[in-house]
Amino acid sequence: MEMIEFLQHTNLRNLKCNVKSMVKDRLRSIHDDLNERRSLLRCNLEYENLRYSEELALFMKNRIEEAARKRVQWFGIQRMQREHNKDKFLQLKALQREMENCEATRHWQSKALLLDTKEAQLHQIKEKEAMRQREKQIELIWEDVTRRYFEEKAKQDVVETKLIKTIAGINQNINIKNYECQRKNNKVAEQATREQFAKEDMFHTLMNGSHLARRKVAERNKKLFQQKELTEQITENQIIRWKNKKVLFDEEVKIMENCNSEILNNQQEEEKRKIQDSVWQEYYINHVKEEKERKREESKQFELKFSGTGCVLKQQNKKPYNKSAR
Amino acid sequence: MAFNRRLSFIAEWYQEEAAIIRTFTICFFPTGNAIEVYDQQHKRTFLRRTKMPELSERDFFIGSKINIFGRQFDIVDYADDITKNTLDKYRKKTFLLLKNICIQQLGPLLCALIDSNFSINRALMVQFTPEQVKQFLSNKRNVEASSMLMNQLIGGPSMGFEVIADNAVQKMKLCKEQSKECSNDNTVAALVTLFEREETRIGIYCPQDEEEAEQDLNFFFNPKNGLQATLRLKNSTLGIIKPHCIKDGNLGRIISEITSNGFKITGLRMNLMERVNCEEFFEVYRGILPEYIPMVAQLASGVSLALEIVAADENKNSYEEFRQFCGPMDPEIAKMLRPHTLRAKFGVSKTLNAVHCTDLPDDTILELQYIFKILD
Repeated sequence: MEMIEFLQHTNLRNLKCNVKSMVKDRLRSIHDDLNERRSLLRCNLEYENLRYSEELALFMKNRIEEAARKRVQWFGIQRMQREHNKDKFLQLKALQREMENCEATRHWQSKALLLDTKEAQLHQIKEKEAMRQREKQIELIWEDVTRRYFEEKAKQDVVETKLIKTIAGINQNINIKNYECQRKNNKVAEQATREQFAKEDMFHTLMNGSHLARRKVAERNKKLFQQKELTEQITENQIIRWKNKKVLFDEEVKIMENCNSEILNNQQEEEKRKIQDSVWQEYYINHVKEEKERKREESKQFELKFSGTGCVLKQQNKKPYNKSAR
Repeated sequence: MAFNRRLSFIAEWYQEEAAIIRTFTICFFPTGNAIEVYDQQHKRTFLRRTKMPELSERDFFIGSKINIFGRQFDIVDYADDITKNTLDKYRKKTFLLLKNICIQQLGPLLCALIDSNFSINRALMVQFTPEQVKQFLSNKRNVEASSMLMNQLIGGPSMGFEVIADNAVQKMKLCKEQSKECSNDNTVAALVTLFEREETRIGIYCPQDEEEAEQDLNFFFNPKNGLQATLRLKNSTLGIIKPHCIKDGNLGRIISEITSNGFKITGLRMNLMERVNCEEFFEVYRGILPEYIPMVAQLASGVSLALEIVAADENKNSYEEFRQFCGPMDPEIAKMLRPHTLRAKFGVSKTLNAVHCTDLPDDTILELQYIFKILD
């Protein structure tokens, strides 16, 4: 105990420790204060929440009750309305039945119905009558129209025939005039031609003699000229034909010469080739002979070299021994 | 061609373990919302082409912070000329100042901005001191307007926004002036309608050109200038509008709901929280809620809007009132029991429940200080 007291005492003496402890105390007090505030706030908020939840519950309860009350009220009102409507309907139905059962009403009804039917029939009759009258009127109008049309047509025919006649009369006079005029003109023209023909005959008889003499001379000259031309042409043709013949002959000669020289050349070449071939063949035969001789010599020497040594020098090829081979 | 369109950016990631800044090239493929990360130092692919449906083309601009699987990448530059030419030409930042006199119009203003295709990137609610106002107005050309603006700014807290859109400065200027060019443009119809009222025109300040917008943004969002988020820390509570709601474009509507249901906004800050900070922020939920990890992931997935909320009726407890207004954590229960609450209207699931509100009465100051002071 004394020790603790001593330590505390020394701590307070030290300035640094004193400040530290003061800060510590202050922080602790702030923390405590904050905790206190927090607890207060918590209480406050919890209380408020409780209050609000209570209020909300009450509010909801009131709302539900109100809704239930309203629903019940609505049902009651609806039931009352329905009952009222039903009563009203029954009353009306009863009245209707009563009215239906009543003799006077029925009589009045049938009477009213009959009256209505009659009125309707009357109306129909009137309507039909009006229709018929209208049709009649239309028919009359049509009759009037056709009559008027035929009358007009007859009048038009009369006028037309009259007009045709007048036009025909006028035309007759014009035609007669034209015909007479034409006859006069024809006569004048005929006379003029006849006079002209007479004049021409006269002229021809005068001109005929001199004209015939001139024509004979001209024909004779023409014949002479033609004969001369023909002889000239014949000579020319003969010359040309001779020239052509000469040319053809020259060409034939040339061709013959060419052919002969060609044949000669061919024969010479053939000769040359034959000579050359026989030389080559002879050379080749000699060569083959020499070759064969050399080979024979070589094999002879080879056998001589190995004779008596027992070496098998040549292996003979196998020979087939099947049926076809035999 | 359109299928292979890609945007390339140079991004930086601060590696805590080594305490160094590493540079990467991030390629975003708008077709299919896919992303690819290339490590420039080691010359190799750091993350191969991966689909990330929560990201969109609007999230990529210089100065934005992209959260990829828990890592926060700061986009610092364009990586190629094509991206530069396509984005730098049109996507412009501008500054918007909502003065104290018009602070009730915050919801409608945000709605109109979102409807007119403006992305809200940063926001801060501040109270100017006379010196700060002088410094802020030192570069303004219009002296008369500046003096009026000075009085209005000293009068009460103001909200500043960094908004991004195609030709943002020009569009905002034309809408405010109610020019004919804007009245024919259907995309900014909501803004034109908003600026129809004179009090809105007076209550909102926007810079006249890009240079001025750049200066204003630098002044307003640079912590060195001494502008600090307003914070009451008295009968107030924290509300965070989660990133999924901001991405869905419900920000304006949620703000409108809050302001029209008996609450006042006394502090506002919009930024991207890092995963470590989110974990630290939700530390108290660790071990209490089973959705702790998805909750952290959701908060770190994009920009979120933190609000200091005070009940308009001083006698009411802001914490209690706002918590009731947010509704149960689970949007499904909320839809049944409290259909008029924020989570019932905008929530999707237990994690994507639109809004975070302080759950412990004693934690309100702690959480507010963490978001507005410690993260600064």
